Amino acid sequence: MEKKLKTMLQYAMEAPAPERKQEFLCRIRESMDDRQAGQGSRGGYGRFVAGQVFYIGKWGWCGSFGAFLGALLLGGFSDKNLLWTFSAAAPFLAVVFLAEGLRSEMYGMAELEMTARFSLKSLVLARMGIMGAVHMLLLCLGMAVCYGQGEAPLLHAGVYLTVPYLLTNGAGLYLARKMRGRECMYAILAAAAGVAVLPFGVKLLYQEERFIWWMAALPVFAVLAVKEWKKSLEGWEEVTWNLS
Amino acid sequence: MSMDKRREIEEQYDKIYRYCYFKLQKREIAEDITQETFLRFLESPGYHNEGKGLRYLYTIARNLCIDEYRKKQYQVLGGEFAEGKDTGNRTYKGMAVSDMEEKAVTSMAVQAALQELEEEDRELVLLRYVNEVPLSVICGIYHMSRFTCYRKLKKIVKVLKEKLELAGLGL
Repeated sequence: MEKKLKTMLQYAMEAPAPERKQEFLCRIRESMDDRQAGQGSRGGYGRFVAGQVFYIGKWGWCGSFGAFLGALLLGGFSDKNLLWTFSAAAPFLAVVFLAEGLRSEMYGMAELEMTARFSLKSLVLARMGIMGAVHMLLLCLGMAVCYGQGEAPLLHAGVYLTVPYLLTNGAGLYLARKMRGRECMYAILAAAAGVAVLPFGVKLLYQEERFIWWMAALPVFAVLAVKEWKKSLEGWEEVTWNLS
Repeated sequence: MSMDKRREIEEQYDKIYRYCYFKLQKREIAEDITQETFLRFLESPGYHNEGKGLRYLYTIARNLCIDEYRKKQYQVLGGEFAEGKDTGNRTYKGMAVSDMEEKAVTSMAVQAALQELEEEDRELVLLRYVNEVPLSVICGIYHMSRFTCYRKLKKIVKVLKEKLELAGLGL
């Protein structure tokens, strides 16, 4: 661009000199401290996490408790083994967990939430932390029920319930990275159904001598799930602001 | 805050302020928003180290201006730039009165030509030629490819030159 035109533009678009620049630069540290103190009084991270409980959808809670109660009722009133029904319900708990975690992205709200005071990553981590803790509690309860009913030793019950949960989690997140929107949820549901029918279809898997496989699968699926979560969170960080 | 960071803020302060002023046309509010922009920028250190600092800074300023604009329902086209008013404390030290007059007339003609452009085009001109923001940063702010951005700027400059020639300002 010609220098003359550039100079003309610079002159024409000149703004009046700022009046409070030096004052601001001198007080910038104090201003930052004031803001942080103000935000502190509005509530710290603990209050933020607690506040997220109310933003978890009612279907999230209904799905979690519904899967647990469904397994309990189905196992209690039918001739099916209680351990198998809990093991079959665990993947659906994982689906609820994933649906909650992917809600922002699925409804195209990820970018909007990124412009909020807390980042999308913090929001998702807080909600997943709450949901994960509730699911952990439900799985522990399931373990206790199975142990109490003499279905399996505590360790066995724990492993049989946790492995399908982690497998669905990892596979679901992998699918979520590869697909978008509702198709992704259908694929996750299909994967969960596949994992869920495993206890009924392949009873050989639950024989005592196969337990070592389950023990080996537990850390593998745990690492897979953690890796997939990490990748998904990194993906959300990369979402660019679309504010135009 | 490190000296480097302070120097960086000092360097960018006038440019961000000019950008806010250009969008809002109110000196006081533009300065408030400039300061709010820097405070928000400093609150998110993650962006500083990823080479996205300038883009992030302008994005915050732009969003704050949009919020303010919506709140107050500004008349963007009716501001001081549009009316060709003298925009404040310019330094005319050592400048002859005739030079000042000539510059003022030229400035009014340029402002009039700018007012005939689309708002986003004016914003692009300000960012690229007045604030001298790198093309890559502008592409990031407006989510445009480098090629599109370059073509758009070239087209704007061509239109601007034609308008200035029509106003009797040969370039």
